[in-house]
Amino acid sequence: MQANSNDTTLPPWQNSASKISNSSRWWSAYRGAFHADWIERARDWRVKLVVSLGLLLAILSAIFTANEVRDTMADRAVAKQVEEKRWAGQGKKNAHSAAHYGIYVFKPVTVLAAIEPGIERYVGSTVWLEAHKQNEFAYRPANDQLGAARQMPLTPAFVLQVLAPLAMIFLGFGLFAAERERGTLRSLRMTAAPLAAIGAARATTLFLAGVIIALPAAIAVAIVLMLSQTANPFTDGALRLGVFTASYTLYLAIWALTIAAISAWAKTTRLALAILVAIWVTWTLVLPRAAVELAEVAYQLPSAQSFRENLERTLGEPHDPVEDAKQKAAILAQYGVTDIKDLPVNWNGINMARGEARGDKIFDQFYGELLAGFSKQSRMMSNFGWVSPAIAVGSAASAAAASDTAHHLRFIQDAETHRRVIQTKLNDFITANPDRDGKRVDGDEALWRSIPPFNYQFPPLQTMTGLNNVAQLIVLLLVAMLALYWRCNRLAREAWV
Amino acid sequence: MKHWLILIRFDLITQLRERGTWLMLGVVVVMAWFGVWQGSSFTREASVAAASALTQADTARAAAKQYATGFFANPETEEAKAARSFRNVADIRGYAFREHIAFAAKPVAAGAALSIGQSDILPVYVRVRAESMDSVRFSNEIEHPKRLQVGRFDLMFVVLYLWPLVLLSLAISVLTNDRETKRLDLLRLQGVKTVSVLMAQLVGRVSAATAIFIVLVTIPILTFGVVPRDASGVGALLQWAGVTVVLSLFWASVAGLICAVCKTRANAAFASFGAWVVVALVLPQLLAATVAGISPMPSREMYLLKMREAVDKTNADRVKLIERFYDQHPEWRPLTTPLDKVATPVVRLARAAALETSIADADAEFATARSKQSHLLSSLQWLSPVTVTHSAYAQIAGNDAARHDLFLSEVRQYQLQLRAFFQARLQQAALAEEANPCKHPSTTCLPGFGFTDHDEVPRSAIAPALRAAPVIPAALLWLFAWAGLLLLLAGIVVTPGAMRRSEARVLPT
Repeated sequence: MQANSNDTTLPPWQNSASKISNSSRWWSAYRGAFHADWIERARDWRVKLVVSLGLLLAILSAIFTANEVRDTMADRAVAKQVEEKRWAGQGKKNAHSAAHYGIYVFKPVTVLAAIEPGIERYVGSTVWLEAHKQNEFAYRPANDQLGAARQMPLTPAFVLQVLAPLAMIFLGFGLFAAERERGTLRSLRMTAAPLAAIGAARATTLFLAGVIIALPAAIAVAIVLMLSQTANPFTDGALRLGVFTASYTLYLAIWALTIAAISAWAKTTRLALAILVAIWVTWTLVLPRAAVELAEVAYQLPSAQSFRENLERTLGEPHDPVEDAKQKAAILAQYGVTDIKDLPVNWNGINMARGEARGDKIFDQFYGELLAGFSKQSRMMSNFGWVSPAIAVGSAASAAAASDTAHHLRFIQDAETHRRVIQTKLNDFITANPDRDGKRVDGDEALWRSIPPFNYQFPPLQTMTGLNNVAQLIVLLLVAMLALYWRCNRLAREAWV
Repeated sequence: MKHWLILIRFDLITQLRERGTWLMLGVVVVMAWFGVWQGSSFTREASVAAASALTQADTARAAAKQYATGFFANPETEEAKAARSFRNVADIRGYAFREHIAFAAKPVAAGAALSIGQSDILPVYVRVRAESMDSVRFSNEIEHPKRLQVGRFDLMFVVLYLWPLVLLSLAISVLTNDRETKRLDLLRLQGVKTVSVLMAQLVGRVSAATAIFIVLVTIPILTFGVVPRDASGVGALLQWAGVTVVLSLFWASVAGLICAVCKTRANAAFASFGAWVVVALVLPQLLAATVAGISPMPSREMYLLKMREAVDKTNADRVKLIERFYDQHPEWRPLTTPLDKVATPVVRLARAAALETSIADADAEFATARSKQSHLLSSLQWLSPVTVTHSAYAQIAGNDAARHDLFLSEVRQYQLQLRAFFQARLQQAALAEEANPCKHPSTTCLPGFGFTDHDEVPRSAIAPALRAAPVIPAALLWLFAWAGLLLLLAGIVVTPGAMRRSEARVLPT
């Protein structure tokens, strides 16, 4: 499983070492070692087996998820269109009845979510915007799934974050450890090639193996999704794609360098494999779970029962009669009348607008606290990215794909803002149209159409998360590079001992 | 038998000296304790929330009764006069549709803390309303979505995914070490069969490790009352231990075959980890994806559109619907009020029932797809031992989807009881009101829409089937079958003839 060192035994620098600079020597060694390693791996049946299996899983998962995302995108586009048509075509009716009839809005799904579905299966996809109530999101896809599907769902993100590093471990645990076991390290040093350059070259080969596994999955997703024609919910698609690609590139590079560094450190291949497996289990399986559990311990969320009970109780509390009287007096004074019957506007509309304003305040208080709790938990989970690149890449990629909690919370808030726009418009209409000859004035298509459709676009990425997780990946990459450099230098000394 | 015991004893003494073995065991036990604590916290919080919900319902019922008594005792107070029917607990219209609070709670099984299973997705208590099942469908517990996505760090996670790694690590030197040190040749010269060495070392190491693991995990479970300290708790714990033993046996057999085939520890380590990835991670995912691919769930977006159409149609056919309803219930037909003038609250439940009928086909599509998926999974799960074990753990904890479906069917029965109760009361009230119109400003009078029988409103009752202790599923037998097959193959590989052929291939001279 280790590189063929023969190529590096024919160094171009050996006879003219004194004439060329250190950096050219380093690059020359790097190129030679990379070439040797690449050819060696291309011949190795085990490499072919592992990469083929990885590829197969990546492509399968990409096709499964891309199809799912494409269908969801199409269904939501259709549902949005039909709902808007239904809203506009509801006929002549009392504007407040229309407010109760309401409209469903749907969260857009992004193309990148085909690779990184994030939390999409675990949050509702739609919300009913109606009078008086901030409804909860409905129809969580996970509720329709079998329990078995939850174990570890087969998605491209899982393949890239969990299985690709594993394939790299299989391919790379013997990079240096096997040479040490066989005693060929010294012969490698005979070439006078810098071991750090050889380490970097071998890490590059590993990195490329990871990329080979990842790339076809991305292409498969792109092809499947090219067939779908839905509106782009981003204003900064290029930046998001850049962050997404950079995150995974950094992630695979961290693994490649870590594997090379551990292999250079371990005395035996068995020890190298054991340590790398322990790191893999910790980074990809244990820490992500521990992070979410510890975040819950640190910032506990209320139970749904207590949240709803308190919300309903607060909403049900009678209006403050003093405040009511004050508001009423102000309105009467505004229009210069003494009785609501003499108002030139519809008191019902004013009253309903007051009710909405009161409700909005309560919803802001309750949902504000709840969403703040979610955000605190998200931040704490995200901070575990300093010790686990899997957490960092998951957070960065799902943020870029708008499939993370922050984007979902933002969508909840924006949908609620739209609900309030609808209610304000309808209540303004009622207020402006008092009963004529004892008959109520109904709203019509012109009124329904005056409410702008909810064409949602996600806010710019930098306003959502910052680039904290990318910074974590860069720091971890530097640490891994330093570790490899240090180990290779030590190895060079050990080889002579 | 005696040489088996000697081999086991010798091997265990060697293993005792391995610091790595103890370190691995220690780490996995600490993780298991963390998992137990997580499961215990989750179960306790869910139980508290469910109990609070039931208390809230009882308190609200008592308060409503008290308010209604006061309302009718002093109907001339300003508060009573200003009461609005749709929010008045003393009015059947307000109570049936808005103010009545009822919950149904799924009994927590004795072993619930041992596996969170699907219970973070499928709630343990639901709000029940007479009008529709919507409150049940949308009763989700508040959880950070990332927590649901990543999965729980419970005992099941540790046993299902991390424990096999420990077992495989313990077992990779079985036979391979003896081959590498040539000790196997010496043993064979003394007449010891290779298969005996393989089985003795496997049985010894896996049994000892499993016993230590189970004992160390069980101690805090019993000490801190994670499961009840009664027959049900001990039963659940025994079931959990039983499943863990079977799972360990399965992984021992995987290790047995690998060690029989591989000549060196390095190769065995490589193969063991590969086997773990395939069996623990890839197979369950492929199985779930295959099942979902063969029988996909219909689209919820399309379901929503169908539901909206059904609502529109029901609203458009209001009069026809009312006619049909009173044709079916002539005893409630209004005596003088024309059917198109019947007040909305009086026919609201009839409308809700009609809406359910309209959407029944769409609901059935989901039920059919789900049942097809469950059926497919049951037929194919033998292919994935980890899926079988996952289901077994969820089942003995009472946190599986099948038990939740049973709970939901109980809830549906309760909801229909509530609806029947309120329907009868609403219709009787409407007839009384028609005969004797209410003069009170609140429009709430007795007889009429006034309501004081809060104690008679049905309460949720839990079916005995949900109280019954969960049992280990028969599908677990597949693990025995797999273990038997793998061990048989291992036995064949290490028969003297096969080994001679294998050695001849390696050393042609």
